[in-house]
Amino acid sequence: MSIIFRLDRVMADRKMSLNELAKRVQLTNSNLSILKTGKARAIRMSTLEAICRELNCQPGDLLEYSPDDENTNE
Amino acid sequence: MKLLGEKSLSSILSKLLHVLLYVVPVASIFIAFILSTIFFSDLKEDPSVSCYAQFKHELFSDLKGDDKEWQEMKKMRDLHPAIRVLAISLLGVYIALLFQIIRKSKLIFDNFRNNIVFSHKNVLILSGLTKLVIIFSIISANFSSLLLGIILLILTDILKNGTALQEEHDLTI
Repeated sequence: MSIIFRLDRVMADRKMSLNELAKRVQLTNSNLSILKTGKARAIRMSTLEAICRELNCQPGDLLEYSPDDENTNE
Repeated sequence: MKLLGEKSLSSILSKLLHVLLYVVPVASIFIAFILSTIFFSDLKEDPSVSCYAQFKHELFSDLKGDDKEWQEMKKMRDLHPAIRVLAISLLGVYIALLFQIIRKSKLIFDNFRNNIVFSHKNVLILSGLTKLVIIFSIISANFSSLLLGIILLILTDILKNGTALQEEHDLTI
């Protein structure tokens, strides 16, 4: 997919671990890991809202469009 | 009545098919034995010669010369040996197909019992089952099983689409 979820980068900037974020946004570690590794097909608005709230960022900080990755990641 | 999960219709069917999985080979060996006796052995053999001869004597003692079943049996014995061998081989294929159909059905119902419905594994099993049912219907020239095969073909496609939707749902965080 050409949309890349930059969760790991924002998490590193905020110095927050996967477990802590999972607890705060009430997601399981495995689901957050799916998001982090870019395996997710879609994200709910409520999940995006919770992540943005806890990481104190904008959706644009988390999502990135990269046309070059269109064929390589599928 | 529940259709999926423990203590459901799927669970009962799974157990029933598990029993059939053992009954079919035993029954097929017995049928093959009886048929080979009819097709290839001497029915007028003296029963005191061997146990097998005694078995044949008991098996055919009820049948008389003018009996319809006896005439049918004689007709089968008078067939060309190649046709008799072909008939036995066809029966073998028929039984093998039946065994595979039962085995695959059991696998499907096992998964339904464990609440696994929309999965790639089930799609593959159902697809294989559909092919077997269609081959079975062609061999046996049975229209109703051909209809069942077509219905299964449609169900396979529905399950395939359902699996794609399930995957989409599972990967929506």
